[in-house]
Amino acid sequence: MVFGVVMGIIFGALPGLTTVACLSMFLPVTYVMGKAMGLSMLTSIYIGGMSGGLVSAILLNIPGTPSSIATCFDGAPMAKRGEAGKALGAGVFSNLVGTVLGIMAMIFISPPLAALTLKFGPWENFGVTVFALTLIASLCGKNIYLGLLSALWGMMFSTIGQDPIDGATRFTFGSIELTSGFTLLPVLVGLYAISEVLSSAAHGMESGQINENFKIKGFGITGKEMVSQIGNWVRSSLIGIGIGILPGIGGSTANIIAYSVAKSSSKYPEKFGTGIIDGICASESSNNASIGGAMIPLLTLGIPGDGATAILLGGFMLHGLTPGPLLFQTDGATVYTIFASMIVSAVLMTVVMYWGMRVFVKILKVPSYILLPIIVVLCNIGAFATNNRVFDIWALLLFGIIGLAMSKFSIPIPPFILGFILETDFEKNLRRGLEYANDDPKEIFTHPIAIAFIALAIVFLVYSIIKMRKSAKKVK
Amino acid sequence: MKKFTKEMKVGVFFLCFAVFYIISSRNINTFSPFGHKALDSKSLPQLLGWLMIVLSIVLIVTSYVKSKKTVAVVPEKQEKKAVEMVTVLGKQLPKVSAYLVACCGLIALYTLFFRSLGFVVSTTLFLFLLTLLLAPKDKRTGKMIVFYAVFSVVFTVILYLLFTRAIAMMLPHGILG
Repeated sequence: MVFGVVMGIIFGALPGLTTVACLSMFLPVTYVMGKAMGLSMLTSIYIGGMSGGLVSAILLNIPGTPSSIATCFDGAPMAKRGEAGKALGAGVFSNLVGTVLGIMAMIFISPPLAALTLKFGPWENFGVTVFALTLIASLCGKNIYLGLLSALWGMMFSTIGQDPIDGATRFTFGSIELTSGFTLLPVLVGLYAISEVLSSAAHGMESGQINENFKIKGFGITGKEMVSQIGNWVRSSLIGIGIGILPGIGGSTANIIAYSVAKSSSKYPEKFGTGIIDGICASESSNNASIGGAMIPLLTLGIPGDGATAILLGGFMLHGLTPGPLLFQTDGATVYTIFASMIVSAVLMTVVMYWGMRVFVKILKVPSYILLPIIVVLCNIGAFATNNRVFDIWALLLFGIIGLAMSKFSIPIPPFILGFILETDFEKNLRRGLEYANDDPKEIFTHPIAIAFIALAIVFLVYSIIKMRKSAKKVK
Repeated sequence: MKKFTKEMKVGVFFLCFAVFYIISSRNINTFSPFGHKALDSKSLPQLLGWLMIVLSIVLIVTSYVKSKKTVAVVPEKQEKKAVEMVTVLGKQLPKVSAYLVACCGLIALYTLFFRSLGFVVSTTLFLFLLTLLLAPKDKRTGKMIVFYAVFSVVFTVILYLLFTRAIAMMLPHGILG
């Protein structure tokens, strides 16, 4: 787990390589370990990666991950003034606070929610998938049509192979390998990791001046300063948890929202951006709190909240666990091990960050041309290992190119992933629901929860189309 | 005025894809055992296809309207970024795409020979070549090349031993097996 945290922090700190890339690299490595051990390692990478971003945000003024964008606003000015140590200390401590609050929320909310979702039938599950898909499509990116198209495209790729209900083969074009369809792992790793590698190979990774002169004493911040941040921490963490729960958006949105909320509710908003710890605390506690938030729908519904949890979902499946309401009953012990290990990782992360700060700064200098090929090789092993077939490596390359093209044409990737993951559930539940109802679609109206979800989805859709129109008018 | 905005291109692409998807979905065999008529294995893909057609048309139309309006208000800015060019096989190509194609090509070759050459040989070659490709010019001195080569071999062997011995995971032996 220490290893997981360290790797997570390193990847988080390296600009251009995200937590998701790190998670996908280490998926195959977890084969060596048992269920609990492997999944703990993955979650600790997740926590480490979310935290590591602040190092480069403060020292380089380049966010190591999108989750630390707002940290730059105040962190970089502080580092310029020679207060990097204080900034880093405040950031690390906020990470700890955020993570712990997020995990607490997860521990308290997940079991009752899972108990509730256990009662869901096909119609209810269908409603949830529709809701999740529209939500993610409208929250990702500026153009909702692009989001929806991306989700549809993902769903289409998922229909390749065998029908989930009667096993009819679809879109295989006579190929045996397409019969079993595309596996989740190559799709995910290709879209995130390989496309990242390709784009940094093409453009070269960013690098900047590293500000190496800093000192940390104790926590880096005084007790008085800590007390003054309590309100800020709680508020930002709540924002992080809330945003984490919503599918598709995670730490990368949470930190910016928390920053702007902290700014607008502060007594001295004009100081934000000039280098005060309030800004760093808001950003860093909210992005880490979103981890706990994102784990809630993953564990209870099997719906990933962001890219990193999508990979975690892959990790669960590799180890034979199906996240969803049943998980708490079939593998309760594993779930609680994960809970416990997340808390331990949070503490470890803090210790490692304080001790290892100087080392991380050194690692930031490892050149990309050595790192990138290694990432490709590890991803390939991972893809190959899922089914022991070379076809999956081809899929990896294919989805890498698709991912690159999608980001070039600013089509959001998360809806694609969620569409791909949820298509099977969507279809299975829709068709089962209809079969139970003797082909009478009106029967769904006797299921209030399902109707509520679908209604919410429609409201969201209409709302975001209106919002898009308005913002388009503003631009003019 | 630009004839095609980025969004319109995306719309056209998805439109074509959806049409292709619907046409190929007609080959799906359907099977309805108990006289259920509502939905079979063909209906959902077709629903997805039609949704995509509708959405892509909406996208094309809205972005067309938008592009007209913005052009009317803001005179078009000509932004031409200086594209770095490299010479590949005697042809001038933009640097970015040449690197990209080379990188994809290497990965494709790696995949192609993964099984026949075996993990150790193919991975060593791949690591070495990709590192060489990506390394900046001043890092391609003789000494560094030797370092890359040694690094590739050592790293691959460690990985191979780790996966095959420690996890008993099968990796292709290829010509070394």
